This record gives sequence, structure tokens and C-alpha cells, in this order.
Amino acid sequence: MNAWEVIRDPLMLPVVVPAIAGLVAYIAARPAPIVSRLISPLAAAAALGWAIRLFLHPPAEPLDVPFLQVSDFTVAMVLSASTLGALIALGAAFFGLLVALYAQAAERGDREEGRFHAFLCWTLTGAIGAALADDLVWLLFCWEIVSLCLYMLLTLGRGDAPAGAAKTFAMIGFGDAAMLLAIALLIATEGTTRISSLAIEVGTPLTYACYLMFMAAAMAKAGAVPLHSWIPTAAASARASVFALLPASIDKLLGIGLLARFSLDVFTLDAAMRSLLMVIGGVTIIAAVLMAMVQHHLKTLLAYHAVSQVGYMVLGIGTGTPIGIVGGLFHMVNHAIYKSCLFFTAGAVEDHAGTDDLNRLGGLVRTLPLTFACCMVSALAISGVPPLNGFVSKWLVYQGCLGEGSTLATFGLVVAVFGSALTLASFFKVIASVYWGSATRREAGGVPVRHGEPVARILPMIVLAVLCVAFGVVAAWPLQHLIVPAATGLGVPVDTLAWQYGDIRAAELGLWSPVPATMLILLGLLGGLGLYIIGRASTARLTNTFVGGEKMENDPRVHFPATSFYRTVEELPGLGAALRDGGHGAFDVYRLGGRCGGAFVEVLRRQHTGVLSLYVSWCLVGVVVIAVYLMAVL
Amino acid sequence: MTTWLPLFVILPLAAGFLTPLAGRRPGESGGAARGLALLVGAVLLAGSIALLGSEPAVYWIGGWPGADRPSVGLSLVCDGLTQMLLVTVNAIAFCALLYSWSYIQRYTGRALYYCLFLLMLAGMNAVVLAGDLFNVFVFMEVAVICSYALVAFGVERAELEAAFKYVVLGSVSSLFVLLGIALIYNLTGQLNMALVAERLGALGTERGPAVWLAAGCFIMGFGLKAAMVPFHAWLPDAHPSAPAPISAMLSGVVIKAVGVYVVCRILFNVFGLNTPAGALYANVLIVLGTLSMVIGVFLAIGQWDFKRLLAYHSISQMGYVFLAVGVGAAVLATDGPRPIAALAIFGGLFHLVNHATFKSLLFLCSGSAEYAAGTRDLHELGGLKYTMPTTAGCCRVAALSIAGVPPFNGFWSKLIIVVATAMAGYWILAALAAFVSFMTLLSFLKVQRYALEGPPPERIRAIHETPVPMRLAMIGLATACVLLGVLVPLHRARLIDPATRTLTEPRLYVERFRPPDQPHMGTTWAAAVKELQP
Repeated sequence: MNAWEVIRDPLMLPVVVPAIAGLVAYIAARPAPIVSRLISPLAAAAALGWAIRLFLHPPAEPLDVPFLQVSDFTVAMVLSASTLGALIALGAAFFGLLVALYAQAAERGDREEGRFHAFLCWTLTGAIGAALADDLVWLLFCWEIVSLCLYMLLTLGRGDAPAGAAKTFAMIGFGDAAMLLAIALLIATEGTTRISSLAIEVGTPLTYACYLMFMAAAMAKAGAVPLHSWIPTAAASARASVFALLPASIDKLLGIGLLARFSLDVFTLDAAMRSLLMVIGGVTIIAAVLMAMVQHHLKTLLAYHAVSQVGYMVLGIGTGTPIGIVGGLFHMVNHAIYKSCLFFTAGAVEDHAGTDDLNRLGGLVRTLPLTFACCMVSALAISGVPPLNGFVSKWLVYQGCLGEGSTLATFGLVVAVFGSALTLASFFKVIASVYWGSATRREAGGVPVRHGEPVARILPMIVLAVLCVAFGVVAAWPLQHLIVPAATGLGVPVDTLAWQYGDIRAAELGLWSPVPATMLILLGLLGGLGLYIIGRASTARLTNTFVGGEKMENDPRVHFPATSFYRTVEELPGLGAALRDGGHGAFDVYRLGGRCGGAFVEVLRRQHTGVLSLYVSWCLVGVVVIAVYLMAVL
Repeated sequence: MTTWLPLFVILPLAAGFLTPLAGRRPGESGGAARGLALLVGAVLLAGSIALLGSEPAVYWIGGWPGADRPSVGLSLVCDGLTQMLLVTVNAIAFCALLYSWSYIQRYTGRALYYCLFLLMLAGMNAVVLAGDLFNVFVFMEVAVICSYALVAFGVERAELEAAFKYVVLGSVSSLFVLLGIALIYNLTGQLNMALVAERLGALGTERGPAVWLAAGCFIMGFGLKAAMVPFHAWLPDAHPSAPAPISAMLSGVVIKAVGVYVVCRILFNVFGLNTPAGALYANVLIVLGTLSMVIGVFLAIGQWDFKRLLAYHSISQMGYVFLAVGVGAAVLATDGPRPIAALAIFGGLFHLVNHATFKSLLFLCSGSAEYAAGTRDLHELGGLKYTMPTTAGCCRVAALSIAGVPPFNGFWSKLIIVVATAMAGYWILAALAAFVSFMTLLSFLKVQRYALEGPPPERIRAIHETPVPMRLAMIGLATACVLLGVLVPLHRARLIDPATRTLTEPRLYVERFRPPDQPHMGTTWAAAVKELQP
């Protein structure tokens, strides 16, 4: 097989075309940014087309291109289209395309615009390559390419971006190193690098260690507790487009996809590992959502939700029941949809107002009506409000917990439901403080960058918002055509017939009946509208606010900021203090690890006094030890 | 091809002694010296590249040994390992010379600088070519004495102190090397490495403790030159104190040519691993490598001096090489599966070449930052990607390479080392290697964050990119970092594989380079051995 045939292979095209496009975009970044700007959506669209073809007609034979063979160790580029892999590739290309479109308006004219597009293309190469990978080393290679692209994209941000970028790469790099070690141990013990030929039952310490290291890699990428803390830190100063591309969508697809693949297909888990997954899932849901509630910056708040939602996916997979797994995978897709949309809206808000500080925003519903609508839909979706997509997948995860039946799973269910309610609560804060209320305090904000709602910017949001609705109302379609095939591809016994008619046997499989329910909800909403109109017909009674005798009507300084909605939570004894500490990194393994490492470094440094005679004595001790060792043992 | 071999020593030696003459002329700014040095560097680089992949060759100086004459002559031998080292040394030397073209103009005594530089280069080339132990010692001393002087080249307080420590510790190690050579000579009556190997092999199990003592001396002596923990204490002072191109040479190639290379050559090819002591040598290498790898990286991560941070990483990265080579040696010594040994050694040697490229590049980048900004304190640097885009880009490539991020070269060698260590059954060491890789990533994230990113501090906002020769040198090395990684399948057959074979099939060395028989000398060494036996 010559090089040209390899490149033309349907499995290789979606990997290699973005790679070349990225190279062109990188070279053209400074001299001709327009080239970069145009080539990235084209490459993403092409990759999407090929990924769809792969999903619909997966080639029977994997593509196997040996790259490097050193004695017994072969590194090969092995690509095969499993249903889950093709689904993730499809998702990555889809979100890449949307972000490339969004960036046409959001990044235009920026100094780093060309590089943004270049790294976007390379992200697609890495993501699609990792999704289709069937070789451990090739998987690692692509996986780390995605980490590198995220880091480089974050360094393009402003303000405190370097710190966030470094923290991100440090934590993801920990996961990557764990994966490297796990891969080395698997190669050493199993003697193969082919993922599809691995079938390992956990039980021995080594298999536990390997599985846990893959889990760490997946969790660091997806952002589950305790490897999550890079997401909020990086979000504070990153571009919204970058966050919509990687942490919101592609990182989740890759991380949860890897977790599903290695938890269900490669390794066979025992009860202890599944319990661990459920615990991580539950803790992630509740800890991150509590942190989200007390945030005052839009992007940081969204970032904590991006962590919290991972908990549902991990919990679903951890239940080990078919319905829970399907729910977890569906939630992965749904999360990518609504969280990208939310970050798109956050970018629009930030560029419009010049800040993402919730205290300085307000009243944007008048200037950004479409953005508001999309934000509203996706905020309701993430909060699990029926009939939107987030509700369906959460519902499936709940069913999975119930099906699993253990005390832990029941506890997980309670946490998940409670977390969902808190999510809704915190998005009330977002909607209220960003879009509603008065806009008078905007002058205190930063400098607005771009006004209005250009088509390139609003179109991706609308597409995603429509998907939020569609995947909720006709949930049977994506479940039947996307998620269930992916789950069955992993060996999960899902009774596919049950999805055939959407809601038949719904009680048994946990799917609710979305179409009639949507009708009822719409009826309810219409009824509410009717009452509202009727209510407006009669004049409302206007009266002064009771302020305890203080004189403060018409004082512009008086306002009731939505950011204070959950001050009660912040002021709770115990929990509130913990949350405040969390803001300063008390639960951040990055900081804790840094402190421990720093102490160890200090111990070592104290030994290096600079006294020459000490150094000479080290040498002499060393040579004596070596000589004694050699002579004594023989 | 064989007749070229002495040129690798003669050319720099001759040019080295010519440069001070060029500097004597009144009004001379060192232009002639730097031109001559760069020319020599280019010729040597071209020659070493042409030599790659050629058949193993031996050159007898003066043509002394013949069919009927005793081997009193000196030989230069050139096999795969030597070729790999020659290319590495001369490539880095060429880049350093190119870089020095502008950089060293800020110093006085430029002609002397080039003199020392070229002598150091001649010493290193001769060490990797030498076929006998005593020449290894002599030329090692040539190289390191020049490096002592070059470390002190700035003649400030810190430089002199660093050089003094380096001299003292270096001399201690040289003494041990000399002691080892004396022991071996006493035991075998030979200095030619092929003959020594043959006779040590013939002694078999009767070799006695003197051999092991000699091995201990060599490991310590050359281990100090390679900066293995606990013999590392001179390096963090010496490497940062030298001018940047010299730092690049010291960390990039000197510790390898007079340290790692000689240890490998002596333990694999001369002492041999198929003896009971073989496994012990391997264990010593593994322990030294692991200690260096772990302790080096922890010391590095706490540093705020850019060059000192890099210097500690040299210790850590040399630890990787020792670990990999040691694992290969352990597998060979215990008659384990040879493919695993080959994989480990391949990884180690590949990492050696890679480290030469990215570490030299990092030192050149730190030198550029210092050249422009006047500081190498990471607290005071920042925003170089705005003010010095070329330097920052090259620095980024090198930092990602050393951190083992794909698609750069460090990724592949670290991957192979970790996989080979795990395959050989050293799971804990594989875990440590992966962990150190992560720590390396952390400390280079720190470098990028504080040196390259962020807003430039007020004081260095107006700095400019360095002169063209310096940038060319950095771009050349950055390209090498990328190409060595992306084109592994293409270059390995000529660059790494022959070198690996030299170590995995240690007996080849004797077969290839053994001088013709000299019957009358056989009795003397046998008699000497008899006398030594208790």
C-alpha cells in the first residue's frame, strides 16, 4: 500500500485532511489570515462528511499502517470505525465545524486568528484519530495531540491565560503520563498493542492499576473530580470559542468515550470499580454544582457546570446497567450540544459587554434576543427540564441507577436529582443577571468588543438550540440511530427493538413518552400565556416597595443583583466555608500536589549547600558503595 | 572512508591552535577566528553525516601494526555507536559555533574562546573514535580541561567558583579513571580495548576482584562526567555559568561523549555482560539512572534561574539514558529476550541524540533571552513570544520535546524507554519514568508560562530579536527536534540502529577491531595475571 492509497483510505481522510489544513492555516496565519479563516471550516466540513460516511458504512477492515518497528515493539497507525468511535469522530467534526463558523465572527481580525484556526484543525486531527484508533500507541499519540492543541489554544487567550493554560496542560499531562504507563504495562503483559484484541478482567493489582490509569486519563480530559480543577481556572481567561470547542464538547466526547470503551469493552469491571465510578460521578455532580452556584463570572460558572455534568455520564456508565450506559453516552452527546451553545452565548455576551462579570451585566435580552433564546433553551436543557434533551439523558441515568438497585446507586440517584435542581437554580441566576433586569450598570463594565448578532455567530447557536429541542422531543431517533448502536458496539446488551417505536415498552426501558408530554407542556405554556394576556388586560396595582422607612425610591444605586440569589449557600456554616476555600483552591489537587512537591524540593535543595568538600565526599561514598556492591555480591 | 577518520581530530586540533594566532593581529576582532572555526565545524558536520551508515572501520595511526608486528600502534575505530556520537557532537558544535558568531562578540578574548572550543571538540571527537583506553583518558582530559576554562570564561565571581568546583570534582573522577586503567593494564597487559576485552573474556571466572574494582572506578569516573547522582554536584554550577553556546555544548554533548558513551563502551564492549558481574553492572547503571532521573527533576522544578533549571534537567534526562541502557544491559546479562534489550538500548541511544538537540536548543534560547533581556531569572522574564517570536517559538519546540509531547522527538524516545522498561519487568521503574516525564512537563510549563507567555515586564518591553546567526542556529536545532521525531522510521536505520547493534552484540567489537595476532605478547599478560592471583 503506497502513501497515496493510505491517504485516500476512507478511515484516513478525516484524519489527514484537517492535519494538512492545519499546516496551511498555521503557515498562512500571519501573512494571510483569510486563508486560515476559510480553510478551517472547509476542512471541518470535509471531515464531518467523511465521518458521517464512516458511521453509516463502516469499513469492514481496519487500516493498518506500520510506522515504526523496533525489535518486538511495533507502532502502527491502526484505524477502525467502531460505532462509538465513528460517533465520536462525527461529533468532533460537527463541533469543530460549528466552532469554525462561530469563529468567523468571534475571532475575526484578532491577532491570533490564524493560529486559532490552525490549532482547531489539528484538534480535529487528534480527536478523530483518537476516536478511530485501534492501536494503543497511536491512541496515545492522538490523545496527546489534543492535549497540546488545547494548551496552545488556551495560551492564545488574554489576561491570566498563561496560568490557566499551564495548569490545564499540567493536569491533563498527568492523565497522559498515566495513560503512557498503562499502555506500557499492557504492552508488556498482553504482548499486543491492538485495542480490539484486548479483553481483560480486572482482579489482579496490575489490571486494577492499568484500568485506574486509563480512568485517570479519561477523567483528566473530561474533567471529573478530583482532576477537574483546570476547567474553571482556564475558563476565567480563555476565549469562549476555545471552551466551546474543547472542554465543552470534544474533550467530553473523547474522555467519556475512552472511559466507556475501556470500562465496557477492554476491561471487565468488578463491583468495586463500578462503585468507584459511581462515587466519582456522584461527588462530581454535587461538588461542582455547589461551586457553580457561588460563582460570579459567567464563564467560570459554566465551567463548573461542565464539570458537574460529567458526573452524570460517569454515574451512568458506573451503574453498568444497559439503560444507565445508554443514558451516560446520550448525556455525553447532549452535554456537548448544550454546553457548546452556552459557551457560544457566553462569548457573545462577553464580546458585547466587554466583561463576563455577572454583577456588571444585565438587560441583554433587548440587544441580544436570539442569543438569549438560545441561552434559555440550553440552560433549560442542562437543567434537565422536560422536554429538552438533557432531561431525557438524565432520566435514563436515573433509571440506570434504579435498575442497578444497590444502596450506592440509590444514593447516586438522589445526588443526581438534587444536582439537577441546583443546576436549574444556578441557571436562573445566569439568565436573570445577564439577560433580565436593567442594563444601567453596564457602564461599569469593560470595553465592548463587537456588537450585535452576526449570522456566523448566531447560526451555530441556533443549530445547537434546535438540536437541544429535537433530541428531547424525538429522543427515540438519536437513541435508536446513534447511541444504542454505539452501546451495542461496546457489547452492552440493549434490546434494540424497544426503541423502534419510541415509547412502546417505555415503562420497561425507562424512556418516557416525549411527544405527548411535549404536547402537554406546550398546552401548559399556552395556558400560562393566556393567563398572562388576560392578566395584562386588567390594570395591575402599583405600590411602593416597603423598605422599612428608608427613602430609596428611584435611587439608581438600589438593585437586587441576581448574583446574590444563593448567598445563603455561601453563608451556610461549614459548607459555605468549604466552598469559599474551594475558590482558593483548597480542594485543588494541582495546588495540593504543588505544595507537597515543593516541600520535597526544599528538602533536596537543602542538601546542596555548595560546599565543595561535601560534594567530594558524596563522590567518594558513591564509588565506595559501588565497589563494595560489586565485590561483595560476587 | 577510513583515511578520513583522523581528520575529525586533526582538523579541530590544528584550527584550534591557529585561532590564537589570528587573534594576535592588532585590531583583530576575532573575525578570522570565528570564520575558521565555523568552517571547521561545517566540514566536520558534513564529514560525520557522510560517515553515517558506513561499514565499521579501524584506522591504525602510522600504520604500525602489520601482519608480523606487535600492536603498539594507536587505533581509531568507527562503528555504529561512534558514528552516531560523531554526528551528534559535530552537529551541536556547528550550531553552537554559528550561534557564537554573534553571541561571543560581547566577550573579550574571542580568539581564545574559539581555541578552547575547537580543542574541546577535538577532544570529544577523539574520545568517541579512540580504540584504546589510554587515549580515551587523554582526550577526555583534553576535552574537560578546555571545558573548565570555558566555564570560567566570563571570569566573574560565580563563573570562577563554578569552574573551581568543576575542576576539583573533575580531577577526582579523572584520577579514578586513571586508577581503573592502571588496574586493567596490570591485569591484561593491554590498553587496546578490543584486546582488553578479549583477554578479560579469556580470563573468565578467574578475573578476581581487581576487575570489579576497575569497573567501579570507571563507573564513578565517567559517571561523574555524565553527572549521575550522587556525582552530579558540579553540573548545576558549571553548566549555567558558561557562555550559552558552551552550556549547549556541555549539556548537549560533553556529558554524553566523555560520560555516557564511555560507560557504555567499556561496560558493554570491554568488560562484557555475559559474566556474573554483568548483571551487577547493569544494576548499578539502573540505580544511578533512576536516582538521577528522579532527584534531578525535583531539583529542576524548584529553580527560577532559567539555565540552572535546564542544567538540573540534564541530570534527569541523562538518568533516562542510563536507565534504558542499564535495563538493556540487565536483560542481556541475564540472557533475557534480546529484542527487549535491543528496544531498551534503542530507546536510550535515541534519547541521547534527542537530548542533545533539545537541550542544546534550550540553552541557546536561554542565552538569547539573556542576550536580549539581560537576565535569566524567570521572575524577570516574560512575554518573549511577543518581543522575540523566533526565540520563543524555538524554545517552545524544545520545551515540548523535552517534556515528551508528540509529535516531537522526545515523545518517541521516552515512549520506547517506558515500554522497554515495562517489558523487561521493571514496572516500578517504568512508573517512575512516566512520572518523571510528567514532572518534566510541569517544569517546562513553568518555563513557558514565565518566560514566553504573559505581558512582557516593563523593563524588557523594548527588547528585540537576536542577530540572524543566533536565530539560524536555533531554527536549525528546532527543525532537528521536529524531524528527528516525525521521521523516526527514516533516520533510524542509519543513525540509531547501527549504534544499538554495537551494544546488543558486544562481541562484534572484538571481532571487528581486534588487531592481528602477536604471539609473543600473549605470555606477558598471562604471567602478569598469575602474579596477581592471591
